[in-house]
Amino acid sequence: MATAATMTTRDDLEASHDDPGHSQDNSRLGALIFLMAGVMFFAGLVGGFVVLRFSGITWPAPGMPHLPVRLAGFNTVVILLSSLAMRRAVRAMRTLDAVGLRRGLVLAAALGVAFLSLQALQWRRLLALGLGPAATTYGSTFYLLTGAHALHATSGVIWLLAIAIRQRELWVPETRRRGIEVCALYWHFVGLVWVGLYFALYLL
Amino acid sequence: MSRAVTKSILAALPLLAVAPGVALAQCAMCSSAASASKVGRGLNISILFMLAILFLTVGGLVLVVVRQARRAHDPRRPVEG
Repeated sequence: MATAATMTTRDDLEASHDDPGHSQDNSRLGALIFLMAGVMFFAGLVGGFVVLRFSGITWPAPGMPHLPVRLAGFNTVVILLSSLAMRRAVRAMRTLDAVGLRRGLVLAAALGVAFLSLQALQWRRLLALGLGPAATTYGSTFYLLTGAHALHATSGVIWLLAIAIRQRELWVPETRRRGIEVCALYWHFVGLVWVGLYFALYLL
Repeated sequence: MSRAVTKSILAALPLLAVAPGVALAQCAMCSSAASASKVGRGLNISILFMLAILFLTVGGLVLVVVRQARRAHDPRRPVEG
């Protein structure tokens, strides 16, 4: 009885290794667990920001400029459009449209680069107005949060470009398909975190 | 679990009886220090925020696992590949 049960379990395991859909589910689950760590990382940073923001300190610090809400709002639209392009790329991949996939990946990466450029522009303007990372807690929390997010966005853009460059064939290999699904999850995570950061930093 | 690990856990258990007193003292100090200033408000909001994020994240993951398990056992699931 015990042997039969063991045999069944082994058979199931072997079947699960052979089933591409099953391994895709596993890679997605692994990516979600990894992203959970990312969510908690940003939650910790925002938690620290919230303590300072609601502790009765004058916000923004005296003599310091207000954050550019409109520019950051436009940037939020840019990263959401990038997320949408990635979604379309994944949909194209599922319908075996390799050209649509490549187009979607390049568009998502280009919008990601646009987002990062606008972030750099914003930092440059704020630095010119005297808001440095070491000047006040107002400045240090702002640069810490946006900087950590920009690092994540940069790694996402590099990942997107790496996949887009490799995707030259008119079909999508199974191993790459898994990678694209995980990359899409990561890119949506970067977009969602920015929406949260925009609300916390610019609108609160 | 090996016998050595079980013994180590059992040996460490009495420490739990000693630890809470110290932990409560620290919490009492922190809470009195925080409530005496405006920092307490920020701390409270931050704690609630992080608690909410934790529940949402773990809840979301559990939801995904349950949905995947249900889909895997669904006989109508189309064959991928």
